[in-house]
Amino acid sequence: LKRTLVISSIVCCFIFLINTPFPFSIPKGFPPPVYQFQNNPRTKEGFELGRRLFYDGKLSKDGNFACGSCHQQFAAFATYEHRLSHGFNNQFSFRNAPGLFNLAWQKELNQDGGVNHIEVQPLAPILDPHEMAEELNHVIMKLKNDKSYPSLFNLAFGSPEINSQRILKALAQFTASLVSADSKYDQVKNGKAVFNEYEKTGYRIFQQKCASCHKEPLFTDGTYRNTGMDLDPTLNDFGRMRITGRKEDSLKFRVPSLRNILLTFPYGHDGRFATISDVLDHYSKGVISTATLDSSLKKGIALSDNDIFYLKAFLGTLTDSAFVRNPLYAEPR
Amino acid sequence: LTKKLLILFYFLAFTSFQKKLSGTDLVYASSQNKSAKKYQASLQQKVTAPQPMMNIHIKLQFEGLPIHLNEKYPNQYERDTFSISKFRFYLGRLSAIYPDSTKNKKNVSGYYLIDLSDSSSLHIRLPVSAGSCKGLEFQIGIDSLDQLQGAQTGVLDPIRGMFWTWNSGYTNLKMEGASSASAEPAHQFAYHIGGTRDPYNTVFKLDMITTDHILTQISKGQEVNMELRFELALFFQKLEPLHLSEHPVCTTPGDQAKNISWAFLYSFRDFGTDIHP
Repeated sequence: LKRTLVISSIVCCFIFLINTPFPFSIPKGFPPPVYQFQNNPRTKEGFELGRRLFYDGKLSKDGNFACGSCHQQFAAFATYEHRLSHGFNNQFSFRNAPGLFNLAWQKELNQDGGVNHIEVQPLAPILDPHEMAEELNHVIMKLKNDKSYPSLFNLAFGSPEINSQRILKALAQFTASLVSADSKYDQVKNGKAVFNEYEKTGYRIFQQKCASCHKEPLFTDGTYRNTGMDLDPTLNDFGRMRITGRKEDSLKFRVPSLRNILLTFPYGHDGRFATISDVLDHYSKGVISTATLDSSLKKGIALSDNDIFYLKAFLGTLTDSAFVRNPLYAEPR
Repeated sequence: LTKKLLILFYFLAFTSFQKKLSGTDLVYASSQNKSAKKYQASLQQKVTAPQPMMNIHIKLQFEGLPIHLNEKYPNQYERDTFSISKFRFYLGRLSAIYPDSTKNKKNVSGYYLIDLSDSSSLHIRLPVSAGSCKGLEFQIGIDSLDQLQGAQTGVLDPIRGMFWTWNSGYTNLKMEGASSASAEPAHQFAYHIGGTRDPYNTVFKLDMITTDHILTQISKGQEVNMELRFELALFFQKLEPLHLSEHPVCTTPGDQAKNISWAFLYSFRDFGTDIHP
């Protein structure tokens, strides 16, 4: 009987080694995600492969620019303190790197919504000559020639074959798994913590003046809006209009989530606002009126100095320290 | 009893193992493009009853002669010459048209990437139903719904260079070359045509009815040949007033891309008049 047990446990281990299911749990109060790992069942092996690829410079032309070099975990996967990120051959990126979290709930990706599916998003930075500047067949070749990748692909997908689809699906298993839902705000909502007086007042102001666009619990309604930032002629970034070709979409960008907001400075699609105070000042007295300005911002947002003080206190409760320290999302050692 | 339990355990382990393997296979197969599936289905049908096949030969021509890469051709509209260095497009959703103008909805094909530099891509085997047929319905480009399926393989693998990364979607057509009429660097011209968002949708279907309206009779086990001819001279004629000199580059969705897409579709000869988007 002992031998049988030993053999059976070996068989068991073997089976689980091939494919370990890794269920995705939806945080309490969150809507169902857009990406539900359809045709890409989340497994421990697929996730680990995706995580490794995310942090591997091999995905870039000169080996220096992994996804994780501009999407830093301690900055909620934005680029810390950089207006624009740095890419191949001393170049700036076109836009401020957004934080990466709760991507599974995003219908479209990139700040202009140009990317229609989370699995194909990495193609944009990998092939962009200002960012990772690489070609897909080079990436595949480099991974095939690597000592460990063929066996990692074997573990994740059942054969050592490496192709673009498998690379992208593995990356999606990692990026769609970046869930941030354990901030003080979430703990308060779940009855595990309480706001102090400042935060409570700030939350009330937030609900009155910000929540229509920065809708809870994701703190974005996923729409594209012109928030009164004038065109920077050195970038000529017309936002959503680049994608749709429609004049009425000129200067519109997706409403960003406010989760982890204190970690993702500078702000704005081009990083023009260095601090959160600059952003709030913009809404209270800097909104520039153009044809496509959002109707809710025609008069800006009336914010007193007190309002700004309390709002900042509330925004601090959206920092998810557990998320930015979670070893599951860190660079593998 | 131990022995029986052991056998039962192994059986369960084995089936779950198989399930896992077939599970990953299934995922892999479902992400393949539909043409591969259709092809497998046609292979299976072959065992029972011979499936009639239509061999479609795609002829890419200039004034009736085959186009060769990097060869100079006269452009009568601008009194200069041009050459083609890259010519690829997606052809798909092919189905036979019956004499009463209904279509064979059972055998609608997947997508094919036609590439002038790869002669094997110029021949398509399409399973059809027995009966008579007066033409073909097809489209240039990928349906908008099929563009929302994430990472793909086969002809839809982004490695084929037909995927737009910054504005997700497949280009219908890539035509690049040189013309002295173009003032761009090295006198290049480049048409990367695509887009499925309204009002700039560029994916259209075309009914191509054989010129003389002769019905092709297809019986069981039979293979019939059909030619689908694209005439480049017609394309340039239809591009007027889109002169190469004025518009040498079109690489984003918009009005111009839409016009070029229509011109391209209409440059398949022997077409019927029934175009429906």
